[in-house]
Amino acid sequence: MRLTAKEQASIGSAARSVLPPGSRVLLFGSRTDDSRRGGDIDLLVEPPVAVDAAEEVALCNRLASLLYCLIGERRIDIVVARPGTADNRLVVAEARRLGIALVQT
Amino acid sequence: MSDQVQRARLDAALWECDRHVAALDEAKVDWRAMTTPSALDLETDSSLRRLTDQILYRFTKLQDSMGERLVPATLSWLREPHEAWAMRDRLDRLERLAYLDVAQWLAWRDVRNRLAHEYPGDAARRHAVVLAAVKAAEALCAAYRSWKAQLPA
Repeated sequence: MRLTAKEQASIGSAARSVLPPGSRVLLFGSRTDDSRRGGDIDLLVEPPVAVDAAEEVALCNRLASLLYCLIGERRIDIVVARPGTADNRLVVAEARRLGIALVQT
Repeated sequence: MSDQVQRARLDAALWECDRHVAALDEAKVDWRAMTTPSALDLETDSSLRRLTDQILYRFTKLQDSMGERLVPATLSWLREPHEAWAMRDRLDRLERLAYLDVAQWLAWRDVRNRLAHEYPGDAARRHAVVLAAVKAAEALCAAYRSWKAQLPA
């Protein structure tokens, strides 16, 4: 996994601060591959229950802006899973299959 | 740099920001005259899409003008030795001087970055992102006005 200790700690602290209890955050995409360089920080957020689109956008905004505050502005792509729904998005399936769990709030 | 040159730079930055704010004000009059559009409206109504594009474009441009022009021009006018400072240090200093709220600024940056995504096949999410950006545009205009009002003559 290509995240510094500070980045990992910041993601943990930001997630605990803004996500509902019982949420899980996974890192997926190129940052899970030690042989690559650079790239976005791709995060899958799994809240305990599905939230509507407006709340999903608000959650992403709170998490990303707090991360900008803690580790500086960079490309952070956040996908929010929709538990309890037919969430058949490929990106969610791949993130669950290959992602690395970072935080459980 | 002389006071005159610094003032000219600040005036140029304010002029640029004022243009974006004026365009946003015009667009928001039309936006407020409607009930909040649905996701379907945003996908299918071409005049609404043009209006929304205007708001989102000016929101982005106002952020650029404030970040790239107004931030350094304000710090120069206030005689802050900011040339070698990173952007984050400049923002922190302006927050201490009560010109902006850094957390709010960073949240607007994220709204802007989120606009870069189209979210194919997810109209509800596109709709939510647009509504969040329209709200953020309004808040950014208010923040700009407060900043401008605070600048010393």
